[in-house]
Amino acid sequence: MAIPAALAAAFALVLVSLPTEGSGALWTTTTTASTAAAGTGQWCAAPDPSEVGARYIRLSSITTSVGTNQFMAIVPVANNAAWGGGTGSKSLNVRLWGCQSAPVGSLRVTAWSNPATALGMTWLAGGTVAPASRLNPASAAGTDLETRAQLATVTGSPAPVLGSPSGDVRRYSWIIAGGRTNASPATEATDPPQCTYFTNLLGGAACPVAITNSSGGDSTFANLFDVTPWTGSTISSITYTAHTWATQSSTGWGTTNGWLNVTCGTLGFLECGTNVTTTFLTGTSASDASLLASNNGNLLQWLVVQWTGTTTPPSDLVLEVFLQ
Amino acid sequence: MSPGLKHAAVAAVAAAVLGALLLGSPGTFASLNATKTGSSVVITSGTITASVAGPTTGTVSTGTAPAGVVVDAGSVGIIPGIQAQTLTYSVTNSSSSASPAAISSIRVVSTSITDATRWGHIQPYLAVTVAVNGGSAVAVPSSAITSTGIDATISGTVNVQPGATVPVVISFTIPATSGTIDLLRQLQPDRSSALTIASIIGLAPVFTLTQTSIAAP
Repeated sequence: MAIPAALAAAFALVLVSLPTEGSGALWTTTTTASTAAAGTGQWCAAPDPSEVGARYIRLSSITTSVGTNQFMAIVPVANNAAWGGGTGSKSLNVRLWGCQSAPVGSLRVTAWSNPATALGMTWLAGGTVAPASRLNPASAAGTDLETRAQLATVTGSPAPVLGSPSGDVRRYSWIIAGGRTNASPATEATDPPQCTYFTNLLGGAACPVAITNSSGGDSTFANLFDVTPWTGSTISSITYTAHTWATQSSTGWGTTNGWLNVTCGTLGFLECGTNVTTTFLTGTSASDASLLASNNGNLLQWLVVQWTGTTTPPSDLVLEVFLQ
Repeated sequence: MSPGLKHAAVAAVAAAVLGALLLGSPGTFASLNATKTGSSVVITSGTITASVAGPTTGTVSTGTAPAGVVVDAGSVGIIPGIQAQTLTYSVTNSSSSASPAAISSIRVVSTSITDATRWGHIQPYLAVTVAVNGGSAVAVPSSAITSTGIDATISGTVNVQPGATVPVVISFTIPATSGTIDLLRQLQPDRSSALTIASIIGLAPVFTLTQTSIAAP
């Protein structure tokens, strides 16, 4: 039996070592590739108003025509949580987000308090003091704001010693106007030149502020938005803060004597010069109706946004209104 | 054992060995069955060898950019909902191989996580697929894409003749949204700040080829 046992063992070895279809022992080979990287690409996503709230406004969503190639939105702004406020005094700001390096068109953003005498209002959207509300530029109040936002100059007589001031400067805050660009979004260098005058009893001097009526004086999108949206880990924004010459005090926005924030010389009868201050909104529990009727610029500001151009702005140009 | 029995045993073992030899090469038994009477039986020995070249990095569109989103022209890499990154490998069955072979498995395995922060952010949403020679993409199970990397083995049957090359494309995608999460915006801090890929994970797949039949002598 020794021989058959040895042969059987050998046979078993043969069966094991020879690949067969039955055993599944087929020729195989493996090869490993060189290492390569997988990862993310480069994109830019501006804030989506449908996700982050109506205080973000796509410029392309502003389609109300107010002139040749001019489109406007008028938004009531008060100090409440919808804009990041709610209590205390908060500055009014606009932040621009964008991905395009060279979009076509120009932009102007100004803010205004109500006139002394209330004007009629109709609405394109909303009707309360809320980010989604849009005042109709064709309404009396809307036309008043549209006209002032487009005027070549806004003038106002400074506070006289006797009587009340006149003019529109009292109501005016500039945000994206007067040559502001992303290079100098909120510096004194881009504020309107100081108005200097000699006081007199009747207040005959005038303080003009240049606001060009055409798009020629507005800054282009490319000069307002961040023009390098690709180089960082995320896109960055440019913040523009509202400034004004109006007098703001603990009692509110000046509407009578002393409404123009000035510094005068000795005895107050000599040369006076205007002072620039940040436009503030004060937290209040007043009703929307009261806010909309108030000519206290610390309670309500009308934000007037106008883009100009023959081409609708790309969807990534987004304006954010916020208080801080 | 009697001489007769011993002779019979030796004969039986010899027959068994012969049979084993006949069965000894893959396909031989099948060929024997498939071959008409009188055909010669070929017993072939040898090996198969394979090589892989690449990968080539590319992109494939997976959707259009939604409002407010812009893709920098020429960017490579994954862009959620808009662009997949592809790694294309060229797998060759050597002309010296003794047999056709199937790409029987592809192990999609990472070698390192080069950016742990970004990996932690994209990993829950990342999908990986493998397509061989233009065939249907086979998904890597999501359970194989973990915080420690990627490791999954995909089976295959695509045949490669000796001397032939087939492409294998591994694709990496992230959807535009996940539930209510806008991934284009959530993952924006993880984007590349240049047209090149923001390297997040290293990959070195392993390809296995298995003979499918005996080559002609």
